[in-house]
Amino acid sequence: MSERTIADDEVLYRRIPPGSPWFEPPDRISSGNFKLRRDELGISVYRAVAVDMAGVLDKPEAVAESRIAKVTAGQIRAARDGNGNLLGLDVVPVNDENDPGHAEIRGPVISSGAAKAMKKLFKLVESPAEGP
Amino acid sequence: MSSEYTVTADMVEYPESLDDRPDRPAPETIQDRAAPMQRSIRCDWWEEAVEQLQAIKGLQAGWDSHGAPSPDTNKLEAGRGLLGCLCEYAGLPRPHVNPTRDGGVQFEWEAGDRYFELEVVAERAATYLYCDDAAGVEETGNVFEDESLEPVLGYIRRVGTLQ
Repeated sequence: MSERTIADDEVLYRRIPPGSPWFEPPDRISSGNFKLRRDELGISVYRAVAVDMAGVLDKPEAVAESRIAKVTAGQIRAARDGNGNLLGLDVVPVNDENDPGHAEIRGPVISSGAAKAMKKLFKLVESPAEGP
Repeated sequence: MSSEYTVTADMVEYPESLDDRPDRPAPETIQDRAAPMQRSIRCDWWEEAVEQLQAIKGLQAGWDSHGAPSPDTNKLEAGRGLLGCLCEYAGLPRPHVNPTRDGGVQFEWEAGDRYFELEVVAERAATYLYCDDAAGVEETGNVFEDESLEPVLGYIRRVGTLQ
């Protein structure tokens, strides 16, 4: 576990890629957004205390028309699988001077159940004007 | 090598609710993944789903803005084959079709507290997750080529009954 340098009430942002609006409901998030690549340790997020939503969307790697979904660190730490078992997820800072506010959601395993739990917890923000 | 999910009609035990078994000679092995329209497609959402798979195929590396690779063509073809097999069963609810961050594709069915996803993780393998939040149930498993799709159909039906 981290030393809780990220407080439970901190808001976290994650970019969600644009979908196919003719096929997928625009307000739906797929659990596929919260599954790890083989070479990843955690799910990348940004801390609202360090970077606002516009800043997250302005990152060089951000794809046009990406959306923002938000959650709190406490919600992630309290996440449970479908059987009610604590998933053991945590949020740890991985920022450096070139990427302020960057953090990752990590856990013993980012299983499909964990990805599904995150899909349920993350809420799409309609527009950056909505704020944290 | 074919990446088809080779399922013969007599390998699938039809749930009671799926009593409209495809009217074709059985057993018949489904092998032609390249031309799934030759199958007895019985779901009206099939063509839209194929269009979505085509759209996913066109995604460039970094499509998720978090460094995902471009989708793996073999996994997409396997996903198309798998979905084609499932589409032989009339009345199957329409899935959500989405790319995964590891180059695969997944199909999701969701209604109320029930959720089922089927992720193609290799040419011949898929994993599944079923959740019923109201009942506090989560089940996971794998589906390999040549295995019965009965469990998968059963889970989809469980979600479908709520739609």
